[in-house]
Amino acid sequence: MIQTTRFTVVIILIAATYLLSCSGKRGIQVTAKKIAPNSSIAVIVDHPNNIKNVIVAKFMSKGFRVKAFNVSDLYTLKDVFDISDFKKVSYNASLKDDNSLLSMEKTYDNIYKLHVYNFEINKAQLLSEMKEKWKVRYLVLLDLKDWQEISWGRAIDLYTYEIIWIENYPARHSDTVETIVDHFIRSMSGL
Amino acid sequence: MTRIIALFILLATLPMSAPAEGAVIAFGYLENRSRDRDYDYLETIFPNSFATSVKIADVEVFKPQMIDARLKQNFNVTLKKDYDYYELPDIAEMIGSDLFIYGNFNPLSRNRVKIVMHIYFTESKEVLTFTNIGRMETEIFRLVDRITIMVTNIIHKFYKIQKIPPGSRLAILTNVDGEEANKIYYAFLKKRYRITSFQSNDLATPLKVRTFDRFRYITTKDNSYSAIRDWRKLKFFHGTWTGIEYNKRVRYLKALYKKYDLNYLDIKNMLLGKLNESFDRRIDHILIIGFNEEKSRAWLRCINIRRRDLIWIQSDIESDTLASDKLLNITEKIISYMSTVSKNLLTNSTGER
Repeated sequence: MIQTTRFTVVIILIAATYLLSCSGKRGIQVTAKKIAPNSSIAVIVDHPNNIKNVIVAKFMSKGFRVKAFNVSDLYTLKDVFDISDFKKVSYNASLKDDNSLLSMEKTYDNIYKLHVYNFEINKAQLLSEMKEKWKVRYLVLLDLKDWQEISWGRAIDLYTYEIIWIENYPARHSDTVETIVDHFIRSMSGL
Repeated sequence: MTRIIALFILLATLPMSAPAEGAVIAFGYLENRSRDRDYDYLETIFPNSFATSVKIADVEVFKPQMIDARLKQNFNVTLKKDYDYYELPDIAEMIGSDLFIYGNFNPLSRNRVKIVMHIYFTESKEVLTFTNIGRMETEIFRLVDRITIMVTNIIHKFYKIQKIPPGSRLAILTNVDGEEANKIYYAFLKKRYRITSFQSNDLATPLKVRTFDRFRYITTKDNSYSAIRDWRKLKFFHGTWTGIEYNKRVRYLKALYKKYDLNYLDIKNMLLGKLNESFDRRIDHILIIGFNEEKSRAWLRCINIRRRDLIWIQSDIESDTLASDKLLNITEKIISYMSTVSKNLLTNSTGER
């Protein structure tokens, strides 16, 4: 009798652990505004060219006007300005350390924060350029993952600079690049 | 009575743990910064009233006269009306307090008063400074009540002076990316907040837990939250022996310090203005959310981009133990705080500035 009870408890615990780990991987989706099929979009993905081609072809086959845009065009914070160079002028000055010298630490921290704000300004200007010069209306970011992982997507309306669609999609065993992209296109456009 | 109940409810809903059992909160003077000596009596009445009003279970409260007497008796030191930040660790240690609160006030035109409070947290060596401009009420204790609520909240490291209603346009800066960032956006979008493409236009963020922690400390014109550093501990070696390279480096550091420390606020305000312009003035608030590695705990800072002011500080936001998704759970908690600000604080800060 006691053994049966123990066994039941163990089973319940295993099931609970399994359910908890799964619930962290559940899909989420919000569409604040649908993207019409004939819209001008730029797709940002960080995958090899063959995968990138498949993704872009999928969008084109659904009638989207896809602007050529490479993920490397959207430079990273680290590339712009390697702020870690400044660390050499920084010493730890916190009062928590009794033997501290003093410090440019706060100055360094300030530069770091300004740098982050500045980086966002640069990106906003780039988005504005995409809108004005290349007539891109929506920026679509996609990150495709393997089975049991979460593929995710996000779309930004460059007229308002607002996020209009997001989705986290737990890929199924039967999914391929094509089916995941199809799913995302349906989700963001309602097609 | 209603106010007492409101304070009780507010305290009960606060997510922070109260100061440790047996903690000591010391109130220094609230210095009269006007030239009118008739207001001097308030220098002690204000802090005494705060001390009497801030009643938290198992917390000991010291009033200015008592602190002054102790300092004189034990250290032959007088309690000053004002302190430089670097003096705070020593004075707090002499007092033996976990929190040391002091400040100043200045009566303004049209029957208003500006109150600046500094709250020093001994353990973390952090100072929160906030400014409150309100009416010099006919009944001065109504003002005391309002400030007391703010102080009580701040003691719990919760400071919020403005409601952020659904429909507000938020620029979210955080140290998570990809699918996790999507969860944050999801929770806000579901509650009808509008998320500006700030950081979200990246596939990944290089802002990680340790580096991102720098955003914990925010300096704005009226309100700031900072860690104390003691410049007296600097050993600056200089003399005839220093060569050209050494002097060049000193000049470089001096210029760096002048620009990014002394003039930091000006530069930051200029950048925030430029930032808002770059987004066609489509940002209302910058919400800075820092998560720990496990995503089970977070801190939050919020800047009103038009006023360039720090309007919300919250620390130690923890996920529920049984939450299936800790990050989402924390985000939902943050959203619940956004729309449930105490009316006492609302009337206090937004209308008068």
